Amino acid sequence: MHPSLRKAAILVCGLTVLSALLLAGCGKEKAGKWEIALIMKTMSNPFFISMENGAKQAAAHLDVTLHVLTPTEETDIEDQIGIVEDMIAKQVDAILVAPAGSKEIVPALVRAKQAGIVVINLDNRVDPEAAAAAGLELDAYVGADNEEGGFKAGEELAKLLGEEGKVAMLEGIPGVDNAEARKRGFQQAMAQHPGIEIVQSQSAHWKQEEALNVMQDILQGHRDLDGLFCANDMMALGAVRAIEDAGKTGEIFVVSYDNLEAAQEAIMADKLHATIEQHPDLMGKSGVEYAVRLLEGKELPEKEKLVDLEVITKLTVEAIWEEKQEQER
Amino acid sequence: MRPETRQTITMSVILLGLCAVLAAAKPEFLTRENLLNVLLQSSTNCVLAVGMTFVIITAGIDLSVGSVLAFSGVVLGVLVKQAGVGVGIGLCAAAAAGTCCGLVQGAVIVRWAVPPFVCTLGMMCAARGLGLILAGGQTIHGLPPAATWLGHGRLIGPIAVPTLLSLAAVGVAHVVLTRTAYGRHVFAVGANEEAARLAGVRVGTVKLIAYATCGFTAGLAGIIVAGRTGSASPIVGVGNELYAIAAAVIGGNSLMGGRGTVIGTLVGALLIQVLRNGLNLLIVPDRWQLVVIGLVIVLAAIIDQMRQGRRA
Repeated sequence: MHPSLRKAAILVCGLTVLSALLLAGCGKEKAGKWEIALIMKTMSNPFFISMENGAKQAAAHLDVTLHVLTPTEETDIEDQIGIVEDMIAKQVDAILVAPAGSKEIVPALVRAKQAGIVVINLDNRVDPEAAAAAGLELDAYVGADNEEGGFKAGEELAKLLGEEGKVAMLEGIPGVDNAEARKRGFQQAMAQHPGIEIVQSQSAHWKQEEALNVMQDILQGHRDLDGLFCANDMMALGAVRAIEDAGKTGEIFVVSYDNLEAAQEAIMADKLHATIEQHPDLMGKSGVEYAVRLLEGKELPEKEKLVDLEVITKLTVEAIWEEKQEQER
Repeated sequence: MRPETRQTITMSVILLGLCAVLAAAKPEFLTRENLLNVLLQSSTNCVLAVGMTFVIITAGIDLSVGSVLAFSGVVLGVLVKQAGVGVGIGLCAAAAAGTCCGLVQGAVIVRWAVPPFVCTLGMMCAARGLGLILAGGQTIHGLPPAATWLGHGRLIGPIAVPTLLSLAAVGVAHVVLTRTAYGRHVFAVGANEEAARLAGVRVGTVKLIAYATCGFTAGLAGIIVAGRTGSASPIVGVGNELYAIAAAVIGGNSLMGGRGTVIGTLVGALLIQVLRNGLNLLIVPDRWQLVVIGLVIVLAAIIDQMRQGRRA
């Protein structure tokens, strides 16, 4: 085949494949009455899959076309801003957003409000100061009181420790609202127990692998560690592995946050001792329901909805698993 | 016609074809707001990629641009918001911070012949850390409008300032690369460093300026991002270096050095952003977006290699 003909053929093939991929993406949506975009931080954490499921359930009942878009990494702030802007161009009716950057997302949300889109904040709070300074008024917030959650986790750890010992903390992404709130809550709880000392506190950026490494270092530096608080389950799973490798399972009490299935399994295996349930599916569900109410011109019962937080221990997990088995029968 | 010009034309055709397909699939793609958005969103990467083009033509690479972007933004934020320095000085300092990072890298690469990959990898870590330290681990919000204008403002009607900045950067870079002695030297150093040295080209200086330029554009990009987010964040820019390199490569710049075009870089940056935008409008999940973008990068490189008649 003539060389330039071959090149042209490759070009056409490439374009065709690309077009096919792109066109495959459209035509799948059956138009509902309302178009709502759910923009979360990432899909690589079961917490957000749960949030998506809750939102999808509500969308199915309420005649809503739900668009779910996320950046790859929780740190992809610019990506998330781009997604918000693209949804504005797409003229969606409402945006439900769990921001990756509490402050950085503000200008994009201002534009969304200016375009007449309903904006509801889920989970991680948009920074109130930054929002006020930019004149951003969110339509609602559905989330958890992360500070209360951190506090409850701290209280549980204090109970397990018998009110004294040395503890460490693995934090979420510094500067991000829910990470800071959980940290504050935990510190407050620890402050109420003078016999307990926080010997080290470090960020593992919500990530399992990073937590494994950080925990190994913490164990090196503090061979007499009694307890650990991880600001989310993903980090706890990594930390628990490090503890196992060091042969210290059972010597260190670990409390974390999110109530992932993997965390429940770790609790049943006595590697993890407690976690906090935040009901992300309820957040997603309420987010969609509130958005529809506002779009229909109705008022909201409250502008801020805080879901209930539960401390999940081994007993609770046993009960949950029994209930699941009952349902499957 | 030079091979890289052909690549640019090929990629431009693909870009237009892509726009046509997207417009057919999603009419909202062609709205004025969306097209302006795409131009705006691509400006950060385009500015980064312009600097990267210089470095790539010298057969080098700069992996630190994402971190330097964040660091420069933080410098702006700290000076303007916390130290109460004037906005003009803050902006200059931010650009200077980026340029300094580039100069340091260039110096190390030239003086001790450290491979650019390694040196810029080190700066990638160090600059990220420095940014976090300077910002105290927090995002600094509430930058005054004058400081954010370069990232957020509109000029010439609805056209965003970053769009104009990136086009200006491309324009200036193109003139430098094609019409100045320095530009010729950049190509010479990349094509055959020894021959260039023997011909009297000051190879060290050429490289130093290339890395300084790359640092400067990273600083500029940091200012743009700070304007877009209204805040100075030490955690932005992670992974940006890869998209900058992708834009340059798609546009016809060879990683082996010695040939390239910054117009091609512009086309590459636009192609990547049009793809992202189109896939977002089509509500394609991010995991698939990554696959598509990866395929495009490799396809572009294959097309380029085929033109050269190369085969393993």
